[in-house]
Amino acid sequence: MRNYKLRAGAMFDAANYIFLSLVALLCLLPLVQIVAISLSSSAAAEANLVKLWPVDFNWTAYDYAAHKPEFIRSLGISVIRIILGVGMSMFITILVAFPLSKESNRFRTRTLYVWLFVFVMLFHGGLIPTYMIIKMVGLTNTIWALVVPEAVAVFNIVLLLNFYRAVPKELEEAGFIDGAGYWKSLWVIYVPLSMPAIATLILFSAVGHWNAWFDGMIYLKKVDQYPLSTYLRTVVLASNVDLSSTTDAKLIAELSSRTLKAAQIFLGALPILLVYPFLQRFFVKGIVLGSVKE
Amino acid sequence: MKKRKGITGRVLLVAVIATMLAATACSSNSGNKGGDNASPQNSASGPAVSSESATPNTEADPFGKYDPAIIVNTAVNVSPSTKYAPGESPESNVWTKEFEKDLGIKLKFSWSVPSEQWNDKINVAIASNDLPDMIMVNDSQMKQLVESDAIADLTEAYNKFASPLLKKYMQSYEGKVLGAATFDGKIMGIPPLAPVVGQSLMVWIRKDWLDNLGQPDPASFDDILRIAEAFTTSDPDGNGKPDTFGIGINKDTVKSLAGFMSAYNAYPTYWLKTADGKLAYGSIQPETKAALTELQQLYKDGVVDKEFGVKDAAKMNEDVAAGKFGILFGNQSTPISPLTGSLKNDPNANWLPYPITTIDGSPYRTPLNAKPSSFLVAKKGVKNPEVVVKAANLYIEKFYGEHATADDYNRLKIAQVDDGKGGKMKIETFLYAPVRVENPDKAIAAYQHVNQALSDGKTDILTVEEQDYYDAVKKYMESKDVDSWGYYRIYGPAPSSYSVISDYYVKNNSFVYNEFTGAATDTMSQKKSTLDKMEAEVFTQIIMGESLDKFDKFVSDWKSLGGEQIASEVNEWYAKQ
Amino acid sequence: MGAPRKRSHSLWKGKSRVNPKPIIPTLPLHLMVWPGLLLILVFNYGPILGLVMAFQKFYPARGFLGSEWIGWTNFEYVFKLPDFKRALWNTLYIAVLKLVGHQVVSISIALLINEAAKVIFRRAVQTLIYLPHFLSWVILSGILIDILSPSTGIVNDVITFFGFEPIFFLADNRWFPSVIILSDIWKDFGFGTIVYFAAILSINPALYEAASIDGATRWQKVRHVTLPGMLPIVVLLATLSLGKVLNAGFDQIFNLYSPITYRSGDIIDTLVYRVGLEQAQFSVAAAVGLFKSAISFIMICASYVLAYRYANYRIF
Repeated sequence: MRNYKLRAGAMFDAANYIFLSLVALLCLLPLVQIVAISLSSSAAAEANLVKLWPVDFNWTAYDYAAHKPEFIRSLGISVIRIILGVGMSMFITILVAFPLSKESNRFRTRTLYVWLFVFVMLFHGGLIPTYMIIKMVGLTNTIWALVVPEAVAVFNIVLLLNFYRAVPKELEEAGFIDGAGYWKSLWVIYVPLSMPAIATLILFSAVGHWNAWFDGMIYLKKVDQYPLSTYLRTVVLASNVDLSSTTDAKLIAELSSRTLKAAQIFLGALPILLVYPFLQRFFVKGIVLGSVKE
Repeated sequence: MKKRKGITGRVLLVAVIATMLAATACSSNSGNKGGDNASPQNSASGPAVSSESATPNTEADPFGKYDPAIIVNTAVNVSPSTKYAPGESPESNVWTKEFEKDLGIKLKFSWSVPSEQWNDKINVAIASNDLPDMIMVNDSQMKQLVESDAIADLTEAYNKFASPLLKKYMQSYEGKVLGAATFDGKIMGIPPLAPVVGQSLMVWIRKDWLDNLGQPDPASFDDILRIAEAFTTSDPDGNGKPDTFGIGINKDTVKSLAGFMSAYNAYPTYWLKTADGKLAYGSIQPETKAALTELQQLYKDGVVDKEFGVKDAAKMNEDVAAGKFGILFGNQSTPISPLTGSLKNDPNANWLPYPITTIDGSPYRTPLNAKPSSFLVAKKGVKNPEVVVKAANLYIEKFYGEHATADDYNRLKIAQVDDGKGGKMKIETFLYAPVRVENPDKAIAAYQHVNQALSDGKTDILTVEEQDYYDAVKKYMESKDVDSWGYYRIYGPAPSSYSVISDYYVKNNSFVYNEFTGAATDTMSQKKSTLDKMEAEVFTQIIMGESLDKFDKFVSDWKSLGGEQIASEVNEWYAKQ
Repeated sequence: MGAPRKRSHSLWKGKSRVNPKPIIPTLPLHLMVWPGLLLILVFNYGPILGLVMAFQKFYPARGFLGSEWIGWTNFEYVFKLPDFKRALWNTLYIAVLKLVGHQVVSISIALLINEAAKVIFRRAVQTLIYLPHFLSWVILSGILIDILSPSTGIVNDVITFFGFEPIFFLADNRWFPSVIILSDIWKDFGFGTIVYFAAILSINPALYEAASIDGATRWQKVRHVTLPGMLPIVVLLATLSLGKVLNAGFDQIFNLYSPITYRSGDIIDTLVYRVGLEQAQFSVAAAVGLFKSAISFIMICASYVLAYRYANYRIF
């Protein structure tokens, strides 16, 4: 009986590993092709002849992108943006989700508050009104335009508040008895126990900031203020220019840029490959400090 | 105790919300109330400088210099491939300096944004009343700005300040260019100009495949159809696999089919003059049906890509580069893109251009759309709207004027700059100019001059720009340099793009214009997208095999769903021209 | 401890109990909310006032005060477009199937990852499944056209291998929605999986220990500990996704559709886009946006109220 269970379990495990590996491979392959394209000659790339391995290997795409001096500068700006953006956003998220996770009988206004937040997740004024407000507040042409308006991520707040609710209330009450207030309770009890969720949100927030390019283009005046994603997307790449109506042959010649586009995508995915394993040490099962008898 | 806390909290909250909303409402009102509030931010030292001085100085000199200099706010469209010499930038370069030196205009840039996002940026600027003094807008923005009276009437400025050359160029193409910028008789902007004749369509065929199959050059459109079939069935690339087909088209039925259609005297989406002096819409004419009938047959026979319906132009170009088909309806720029890609992958790919001829032997006319897609405009209320006209004057003068010099060209058109590695690189400085009004005849002139120089060796007749083309052509002729092949095929000896245009089309005046160059009419704004969608659907379906009766139904649907109304509005406009 | 007292000031008439434990002042909680509240008041509620343009014939150059008020005209215009009904149906069909598909796949994969013992393997899989998210639909459409090609695509190679006729997926109105739904799930299931995995990790290990002591099998543990532990997050994500029920994925469809597949693939957003090509369509876009938001809001409200009424559970 035991043997059967063990063998069935082992078979399932084997099948599971194989299945998950296939799934992971399916997700990896297109990116492998992208990298191969970025390292191929533009002729082969334009003809769509590159499969999973570079054809006519060369670094030109990366060379071109990286040798523009603005590349390093915009990279620096992106890093600053991520630090400021993730920092501010996570702080607000951690903070706001906490009171909203309390029950109504403890914290009366919480339901009203939560709906105020959820409402803005659904209703948006649109590009023009938002631009006008940001301009009015004076954030245009500063990096804060990329950081402050998006600091409140309602989805994250709502997600985190659910995770807070999973923390046993007895822990907080034990803390109250010891004289701690809500503030301490949040930072000493709730945050450490919600690390998987917080790490997840940091990841999403960082990726979001790294890849966001449109806001940089709209709110910043000069190309030398652009973060990397905006820079790559707008200055380095040429796309969707209607070639049939331009009679400027020189311009056309320089617009073939499949390898550049591929390089840009790879650079966009790069941070997750680097940062995610780092964050994964937080993905550990919840640590319950001691046990509290109910 | 609980209750009290709850109430306090809620009251406080409501108070705060109310205050915030009131504050935002107030400020958004004042923000909208006027460009007058906004402009001090725009032109930082503007009022101080430009108020008194400008007007008395500029008597009516097309090139009059403002003294003291005035500041003009504008924005620049930074194309991704635009390069700058070390030390130069979109905001400070040879052109900005030239403007200051020659015209006393200091250009200040409110923003510099790449072409793809230009529209978003402008829309947002228009909406937040942040429009610079002088800016390039597209035709739908133009219409909007005209309707909301946000841009200056340039008629007087044009009449007083336009240089003779500018006036000459603006009258080209039967006056259509300037006509498009004119609303209710008022000139509202100056459009950039490029040789429209460069839109001429021609058919590009792989001569190496013709040779492989022992086929002669096509003498008629029927020949082209026959060649297309041969390319599909007779293994022209000699690799033993049935992996080629004849004609390349893609899911954009309007653009990719235009060449084929024109051989049947069909001009979808064009408004053409009919015998009774009115304008009719090309897509619903019987000629279009005839062309579709043939295309349907070609599709059935596999002569056109069976998957064309899901591929966009970029995907089709991949097939060109990969050597999948041998006939492409393109224009003069086709050698540069996508044909050079084909050559890079297969050095034997010898693409040659042929003029299109009609299926029934009637005189061929290639479609030209002289309507500009952008305009340089001046914000309403600026002190010196004539800077728009002067900007155009200056550009023309530097390259086409009597006093244009090689030095001008070498600084302001294509500059040779140290590339930091011991060599020189070419920088297209002309891209920095606020508006580029080219001599509409320059392309054909270039072709003629280059070939004359090739035959008699005398290069002194070449303008500096033509010299560039000549050098590239020579380079290809001597070393078969792949990157120069494009220019060789465009400006070089026949058969080349311009040999086709010059020796066939210009000689026979084989042109037909889209007669409607106005802004979208009211019903167009409302219904055209629905009609266009229907047209694309029906055409694609018919090509892929559905009954030709669908075309007749399309014609009647088009008329009843708004087309009739649009046609009468178009003719109303036409009657006023 | 006293009978339950009715809270007359409560916004939501729910049940409540007198809490006998010591209460501490809630002011700190209010203070924690306000920074976020202030930000959304300025940057979200402020712009929402701009939605007034949905009821105007808005000209940016004239601003909000200068543009004519036309009431529901913009809405009527969109609803009366010949293609609107079809677009609405396509939108709902595609969005709902995507929603369901995403949940099912994400939950399953999260559970499977949890079952894999080797930590390094788990981390690798987690990282890799997030990768497709970074590919743009511009690139992916090129890839999909290739692999789904009826003549040279790998998928049809497999199909013909088994003796069937090749299918022209991207030109077939019967298959197009499936392509859209499946490729979207592939692209973004990593997101949901990561969230669910975090949820799984938050389950109190003591519960698993207790289950082991009771002799539960792996499967039983999943059924009785893991799934219930994930339930709040599942419900949350499902509800929030309901809010996107009119967002069938503009970017994806715009890149993949073509005149042949307008019939099954045209969604509200692509329709509005084409209309906007003819004129700067601020008002119409705002009207459609408002319509979509209103529907989302209703759906989320409905879910919230249902969950509260029948399960005494607050989704958020």
